[in-house]
Amino acid sequence: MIKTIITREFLEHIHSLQFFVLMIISIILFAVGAWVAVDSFQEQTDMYNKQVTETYNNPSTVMTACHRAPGLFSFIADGGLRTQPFQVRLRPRGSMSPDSSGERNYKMMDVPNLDWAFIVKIVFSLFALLLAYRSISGEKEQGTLRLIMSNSLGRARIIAAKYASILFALLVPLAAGMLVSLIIITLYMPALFSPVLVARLLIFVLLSSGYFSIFILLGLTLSALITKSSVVLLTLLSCWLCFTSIVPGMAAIVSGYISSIPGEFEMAQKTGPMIQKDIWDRIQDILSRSEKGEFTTKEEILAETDKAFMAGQELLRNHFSEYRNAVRERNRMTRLVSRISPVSLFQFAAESLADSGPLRQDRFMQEIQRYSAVYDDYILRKTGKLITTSVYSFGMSTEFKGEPFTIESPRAEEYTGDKSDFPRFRERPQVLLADIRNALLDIAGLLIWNLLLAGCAFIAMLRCDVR
Amino acid sequence: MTGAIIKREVLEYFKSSRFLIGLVFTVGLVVISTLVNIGDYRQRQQDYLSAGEHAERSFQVEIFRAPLVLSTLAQGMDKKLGSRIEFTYYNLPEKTSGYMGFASQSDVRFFDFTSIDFAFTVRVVLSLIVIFLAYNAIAEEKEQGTLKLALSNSVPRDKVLLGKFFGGMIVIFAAVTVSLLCATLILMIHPAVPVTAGLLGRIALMYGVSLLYLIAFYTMTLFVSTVVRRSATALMILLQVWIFLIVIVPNLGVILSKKIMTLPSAEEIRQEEQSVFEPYREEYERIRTEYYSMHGNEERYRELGRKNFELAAQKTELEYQVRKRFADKLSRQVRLARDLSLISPAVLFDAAMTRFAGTDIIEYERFMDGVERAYSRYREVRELLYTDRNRYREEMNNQEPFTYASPSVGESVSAMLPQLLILFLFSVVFFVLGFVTFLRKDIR
Repeated sequence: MIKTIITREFLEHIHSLQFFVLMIISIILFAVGAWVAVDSFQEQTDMYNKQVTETYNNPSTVMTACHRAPGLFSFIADGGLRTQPFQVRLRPRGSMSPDSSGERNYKMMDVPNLDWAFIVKIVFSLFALLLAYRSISGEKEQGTLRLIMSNSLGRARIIAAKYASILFALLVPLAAGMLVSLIIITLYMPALFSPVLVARLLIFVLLSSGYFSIFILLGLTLSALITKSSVVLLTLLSCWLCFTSIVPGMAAIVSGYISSIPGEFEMAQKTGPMIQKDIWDRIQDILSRSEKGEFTTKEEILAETDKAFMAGQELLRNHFSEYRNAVRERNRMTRLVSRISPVSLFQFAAESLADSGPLRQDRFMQEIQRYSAVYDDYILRKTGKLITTSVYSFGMSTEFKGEPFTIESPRAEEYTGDKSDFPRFRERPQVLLADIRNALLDIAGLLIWNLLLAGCAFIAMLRCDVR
Repeated sequence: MTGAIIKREVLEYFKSSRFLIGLVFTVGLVVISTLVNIGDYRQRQQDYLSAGEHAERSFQVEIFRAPLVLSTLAQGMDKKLGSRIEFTYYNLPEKTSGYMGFASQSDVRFFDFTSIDFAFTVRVVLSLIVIFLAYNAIAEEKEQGTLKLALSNSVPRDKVLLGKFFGGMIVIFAAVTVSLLCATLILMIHPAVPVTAGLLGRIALMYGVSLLYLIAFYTMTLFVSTVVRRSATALMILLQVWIFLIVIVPNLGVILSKKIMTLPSAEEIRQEEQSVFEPYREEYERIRTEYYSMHGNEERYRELGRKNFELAAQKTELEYQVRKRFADKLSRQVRLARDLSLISPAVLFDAAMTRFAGTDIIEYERFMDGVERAYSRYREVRELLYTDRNRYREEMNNQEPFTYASPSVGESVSAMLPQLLILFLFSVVFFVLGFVTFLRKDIR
């Protein structure tokens, strides 16, 4: 009996005009998304290859560059990775300065990337609500609910059948869209097709089902609780807006209030006094000692000022790294707060699955840190010393025994001999299991939402007055 | 007769739970977002003032961009674009950075956290509510048979439709008025926000644009409700159109503009920067080396200093022109993205709202023009250091504060006229189409 209801409801959904429109929209969006992803991937790959070749054609012991390889699965979820620096300049002793971000047009308005995660989280969630909102209240308005209830089928089974039919009806356009997208992507990037991709796709389908299942259950719950279907729809649309825009939007603001992370201005204000106190005051102290005759040669003074510059630069590097950590912490906090919404949970799980987003960027930075030790070791072997630098360099003119001379921050030495053994920066490949492990927290969140709403839908249906 | 229909429609809308829920939701969102945005504005304003107190105005010049008051209602690009720029005669950036300078670039967002403000509420929430209020205006009356009943009286069809149209308009008018009034009152009461008459004029313009935008959605909804037989189908079509106009079209505009107007690579820009100064490089290197290694001979030292300064400034200006051309191309790409998505009222609405709030790229470009002028002045004064030291000191002591010519309200309105006209035409076309369809509609 339950199978009959599922089949009947499913056929009813797929014969409807709305299903036809969803199918068309889904295919168009997935196709456009795939075209954009292929184009962007090829552009990024060209740039990546060019920059990597340039770096290794000109190996340097003063400064090198590390590049992030373009994400193979960014068509699933980009997670804002395109706006993150993909080239980081590395100097001795782990001094890093990320280059400009990937999004070159800083004046362009922010528009979301048309990746799979975006299409599912916005379009499919809305359609899940549209297919579910009349399920109970609509039948009640038409009087057919009473008729169904007069059969021997339990209420729980009826709601389960309705749930399953909507879920299956949504999986059809999702599968069609994904198929079109995959055809386009594999046509241009045939090497991408692998068992790992298939595994990721299957997990994505499961993840998407778990995600729009939340909206179906929410729709069924409210449809059973509220008599008028128009009120059900308005309430559902309000919830949808809250989940998709308002909660993530507010999360950024709330995280700013609840965290005591210093802002950019606060951090910037410390930079000037820090340079004064930790560099110029020390240098002044050395020059005063020089005037008192504590040094006998220029070299002695330079050795002291070198030490002072290096110590000061170390503090400056730590200051910048503190700022970067503060930014990362604020981002982390924002994401944590926005996890109240299932939309964010789905987005973050998809990012983990696609190996993109902040976790990917963090991994890139950790890999640079790991490489930094290898780079330092190479420099030590070649030049015998490691010079700490920061993005600032300092210099001033002074006098020693009436003779003018310049003191300036020490510079790293360029090795002029054979550099054919220059170590290459290579990121360790990320395995699928690690990505799944990263997504576990968000998957658990989605599961909790599902269980909670399934319980609500069941109770609402049991208490539903069919008259 | 039309008056009676309008009255009935308005009362029906006002009494419906749909309107009540929608209004409470909208007003709640506007109030909360305005309060939060004011808090954010106050913080940015404090930072701006503190930064200005310690700003460098001698060898290097620091200029800070003030946060815009109306970013509390339509944030636009105000927060995204940096607040600080610093130049010397050997370095003139073409764009602003954050307070941390070059380190600011790490402060970019990962996930698309939408900024919530009055403009967002109207563009997304109220447009959805308008669709939801009116999707069944004709279709449901037909389904229930009340349309047949109404038209069996002596009421002409045009009056029925006009009644529904004006009834809906009054409801939209009420919703926008209440929402914006709440936001404006908060702005006026809040001590952190300086509200002037000019500002109120801009708010009035934003109010007009919001009405125009929602009327466009309302006429489109009425048209679909007239064409389609079932109200459920009307809703489905409208929601798809809504997603298309609000989410997909702006996105496609950006994608297409990037395809049509490709940008030179960073390497190409670097090469161009190097080549423009190539004819002077040898002389510059020679002068520079001599200048930095010279001691004694005061007159020659000063002469070399002046030449070194002139060549360094020339290098800075030539390189700046290359980067400026690139920055201008970025602006053209933004305009192209907007022009390619003009079929979306949401894009037109955004363009007009950010222009009236002053939070679009035009305001930013005016600021950058101001920076360019400040640099020219700085160069003139700096040159005095090598020719007339007394005048240099005098000029340095009488420095004028940095200002730039922000676009006036009149300028903004005339620049936005085509967009506003398209938005108006959008409403007219759908109204006419709906009107004609309704007159020809088979109501059986």
